[in-house]
Amino acid sequence: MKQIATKGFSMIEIVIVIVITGVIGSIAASILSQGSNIYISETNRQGFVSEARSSFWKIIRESQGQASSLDFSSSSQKNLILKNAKGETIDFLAESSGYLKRRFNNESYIVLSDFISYPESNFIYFDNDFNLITPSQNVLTSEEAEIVHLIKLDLKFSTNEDTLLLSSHIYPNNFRMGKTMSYHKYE
Amino acid sequence: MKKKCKNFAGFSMVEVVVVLVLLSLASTMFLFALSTGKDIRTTSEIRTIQGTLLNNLQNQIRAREFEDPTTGSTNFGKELDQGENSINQFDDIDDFHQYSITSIPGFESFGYSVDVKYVPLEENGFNLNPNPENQTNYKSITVTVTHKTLSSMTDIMIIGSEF
Repeated sequence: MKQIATKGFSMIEIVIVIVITGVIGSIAASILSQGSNIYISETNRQGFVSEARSSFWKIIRESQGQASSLDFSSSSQKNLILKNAKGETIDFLAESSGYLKRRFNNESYIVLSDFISYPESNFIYFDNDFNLITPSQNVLTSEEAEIVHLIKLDLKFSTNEDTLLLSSHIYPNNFRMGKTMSYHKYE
Repeated sequence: MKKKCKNFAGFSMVEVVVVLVLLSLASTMFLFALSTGKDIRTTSEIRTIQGTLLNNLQNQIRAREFEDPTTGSTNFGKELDQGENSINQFDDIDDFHQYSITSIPGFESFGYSVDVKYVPLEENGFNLNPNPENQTNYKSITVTVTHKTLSSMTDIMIIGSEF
């Protein structure tokens, strides 16, 4: 067998090729990973915003159906207790652990969101002259609940990367009617 | 075998350039698609806040009394009552007429503007652009939430004296 003499690459050539490949590869990898990181963070953010939005509007929708201001009694800054038109108790609770929960008729709580920033999330109550009602014993007594005219809902959602503050006043539809209507009657 | 190798020509400069251009176009389009996604997300988030702010002011207005104005007044009671300079002092719906704020505290890139007018109830529903504007039992309230870069969001609600 005759060995054919072929001229191979020199060491320097191979090193240069490897170095160039490495540089191009790392640039390409960083561009691609940047893209996928953007995608991941956008998807997370989207989920975060839609969770915040849906839990916020759930509270607004239930509060708008409130028949009488008296039903606000025993609500507090962190706990909104409502009655809907069927007479069911609906209870929204913000917890220091970051959970926003809801329950019907004292059944077990269902978590609406686990991104609540506790200190900035409040249920605030105003009287007829739009003055703040401060609950005298942590929760609204029935006398204090009776004069509730307007509610304000402040919810701050936050994760390590994102924050979203949603804030709105709520004026229950029925308050404009002035009194409990026949379709609100319940035992 | 040897002959074949001899005849093998490398890529020409033009070919390489074309490949590079195509590759860069593809990657630009990929990045562009990502940034479009980001824009859409940002817009939807701004719309969420805008909708919340709109709801906020509408509820505050609904919490006010209808209050029939003094008859004979050309403005039909749209003028501010004395000493009512801030929103906390407003006691009737008219007070919100031409209420506007360019930067809402806490939501600096958003603003409000409100317009209140009397609308008559006609056969086909409310006439939202009465001319001339006469005093009726219904007020239409147009609330607009502006944003510094995006278009504004507007909603009209009607409140009657009996509801």
